[in-house]
Amino acid sequence: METRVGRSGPGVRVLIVEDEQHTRARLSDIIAAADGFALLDAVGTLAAARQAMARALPDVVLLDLGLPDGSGVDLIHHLRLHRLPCEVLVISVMGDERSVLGAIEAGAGGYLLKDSSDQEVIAAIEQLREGGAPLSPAIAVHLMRRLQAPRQVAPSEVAVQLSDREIELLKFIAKGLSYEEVGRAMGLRYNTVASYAKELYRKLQVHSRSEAVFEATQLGLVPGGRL
Amino acid sequence: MRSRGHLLLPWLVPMAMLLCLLGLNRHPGALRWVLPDAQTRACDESGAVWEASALPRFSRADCQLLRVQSTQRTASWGEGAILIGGLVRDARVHVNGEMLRDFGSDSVSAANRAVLVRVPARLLAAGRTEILVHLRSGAGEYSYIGTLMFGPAQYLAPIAERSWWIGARGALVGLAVTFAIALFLVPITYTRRDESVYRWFLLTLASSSIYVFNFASAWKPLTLSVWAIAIHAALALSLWSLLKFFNRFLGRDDPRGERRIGGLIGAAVALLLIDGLDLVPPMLGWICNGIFRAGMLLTLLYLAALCWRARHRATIPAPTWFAGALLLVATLGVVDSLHVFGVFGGILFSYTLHWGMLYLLLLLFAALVFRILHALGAAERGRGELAVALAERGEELEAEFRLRREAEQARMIAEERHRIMRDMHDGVGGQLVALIGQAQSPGFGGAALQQQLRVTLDDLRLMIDSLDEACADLSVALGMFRRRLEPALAHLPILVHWQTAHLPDLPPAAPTVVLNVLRIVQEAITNALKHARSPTLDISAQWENGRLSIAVIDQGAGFVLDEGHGRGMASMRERARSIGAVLELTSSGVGTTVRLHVAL
Repeated sequence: METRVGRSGPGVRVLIVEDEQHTRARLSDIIAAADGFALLDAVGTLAAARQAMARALPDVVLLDLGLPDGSGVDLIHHLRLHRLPCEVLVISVMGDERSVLGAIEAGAGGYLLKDSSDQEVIAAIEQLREGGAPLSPAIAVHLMRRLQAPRQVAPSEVAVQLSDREIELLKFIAKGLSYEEVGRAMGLRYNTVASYAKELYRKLQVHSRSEAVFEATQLGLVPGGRL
Repeated sequence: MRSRGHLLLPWLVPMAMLLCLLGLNRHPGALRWVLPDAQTRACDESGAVWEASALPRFSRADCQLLRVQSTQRTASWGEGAILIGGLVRDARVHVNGEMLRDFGSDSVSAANRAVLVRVPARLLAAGRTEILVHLRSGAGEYSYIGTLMFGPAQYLAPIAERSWWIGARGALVGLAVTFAIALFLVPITYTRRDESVYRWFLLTLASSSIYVFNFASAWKPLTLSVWAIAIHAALALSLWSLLKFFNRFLGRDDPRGERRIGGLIGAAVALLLIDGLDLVPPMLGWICNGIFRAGMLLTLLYLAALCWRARHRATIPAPTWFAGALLLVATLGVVDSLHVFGVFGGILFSYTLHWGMLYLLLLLFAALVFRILHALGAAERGRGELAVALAERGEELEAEFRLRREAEQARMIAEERHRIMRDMHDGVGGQLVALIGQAQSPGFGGAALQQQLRVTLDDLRLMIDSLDEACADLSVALGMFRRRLEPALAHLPILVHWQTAHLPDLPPAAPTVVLNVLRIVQEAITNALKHARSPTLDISAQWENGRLSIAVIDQGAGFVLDEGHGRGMASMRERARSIGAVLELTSSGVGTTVRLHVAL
């Protein structure tokens, strides 16, 4: 693994937040053994994670959602609220849309299946660092449905909607094509496809935020309808 | 709607007229001229025009008897009562049998102007004074007998005369209106054939018009005797159609009554013909005419009674109006007949029945219009009520639909829960139990355990994917399945070709269908990997005519269908059967093909 240009320190600093001891140990071993990665800490609770981040900000957080003292989503919110330059990979058992989409909406950059192999874990982190994000067919469909659904919002918020290119990409992903295959079908490089995916995640976050604003405006919580 | 005013209104006019008639009949002040039959005829032949006062006036200049002035003061009434003018050669005036004056032929004709005949007061009898005027001209000799009476008649006569004039013009206008109405009703009659009430109204209108026309205009299109038959036959026809009209209007079904009255009217018309065509001696003719008139009056009374009896059943008070109007017409008919037979002679002229018929016609029309308006109002109200009822029913239906939907949802949730439990029990549960059993056996190593656990986890993921809304589309479910499977397949020495990405968006399938399809495909792939030792594995899907066909093809050793693989195949078949899919298996020495056809 090559060391990244322009980065100081030993490599990508990773914080693992996982309450299940064996998984935590396995992931710690994978990170520790990987070239170009540095394990910042491996903790089992939200509180410990906050403390660890207060000490030193990681580049990437591998985050389990179901923690003993709260949901991992709270930590993502915390990170996004303070605009901390820190990527989050959610550790999911099933990789199902319910847990993953919620985390992506909050601001997670991707997800990692708990039983992924060593290579897959490293590949996922690298993909995230390179500006990509994993997309499963089911999540692609949900992205399409969420972002294409006609909403009664101000015209300025229509910008959140999908471009034709993104829709095409999502349709390929939904049928099970890998990023490489999508790239070949659309005449794009792998990295471009991955960055499309990341852009889609970002749109989902914006979408969910604008939706929240919209709903808050509808409920009269936010006067003027702008945050 | 049923106020007293409505009941009173139609009776006001008849009562007023009746009172007027009763008050004037044989009133000592009434003035009339009674002309013997023969003299009337003589006047007709010489072109006499009958005016409102029933005094004849010659249109020809050779003989003229001017009307009696009724504006004289009572004291000097007799004087200046008679004016004789025109080219009369000779004229003699007798008062109560006494010669009053004998004009010499020169004295009248030379003047060619009205001559005032003074009747001295001594000649006037206290009650009744008869004046005989005998005129002789070049055309012949004519005698007129007049009766002078004193009292309020001198004031009422001009009123009666004016009302006659107004009545005749009114009747003309009325006829014009009735024809306008007829034009208006013709389309209704045509378009609403089942509502014959309009048809009978039209017939009544047409026949009555002929009768009323005789009153409205002095013009007689036929010779007098034929015209007299025609108008009275028209009266009979109008009464018969009136009966039909009332029965339809009041919703009565009485063919027997109609036949009887029809027979009566027919017989009356026959008698009318006998009289009118002079088929019998004059006396018998008068009797026939009398019976005809009596028949008409009886019909009118019958109609009045019919309407009166039906007044409670009607939604509008029209039957009460009809009954009143018919009674009035019958009364006027009596007056008219008495007039004709010379029995009655009030200040009112003849043709009273014509007036009555015109009044009746207008009333019929008013009732029809009222009925139409009433129907329109009822329709409006009905529409409003219908809208309210519809809205209520709509709400009920909506509530019912909501309840049903909720129940259906609850049922579906329960079913789904049951399915998930069964899947977990049969799938993950069964696999875990097997694992425990295997773990207890000696020689069951970590690698084997890991392998089994992975299978269990994969199955759990299949279950969860099948519950994902996005995977209701089997093309997405297959894509998901491929993404799940690919990392594991990547490490195996086999070339896997997926040809599932070209599928279009498919109609949504139930989770149980999705899960079973995925399990069958998984089983087929597992079998190929385990047993076939094939260098390649092709997984393809086709969507055609509402059917999804998935094929798993290897180029391995193949197997004999009846041996060895019984259990796995049986479970695949059972799964396919449970979702109504068809499973095809072919195997030979050069490979095995598993095809699954699912109708969506």
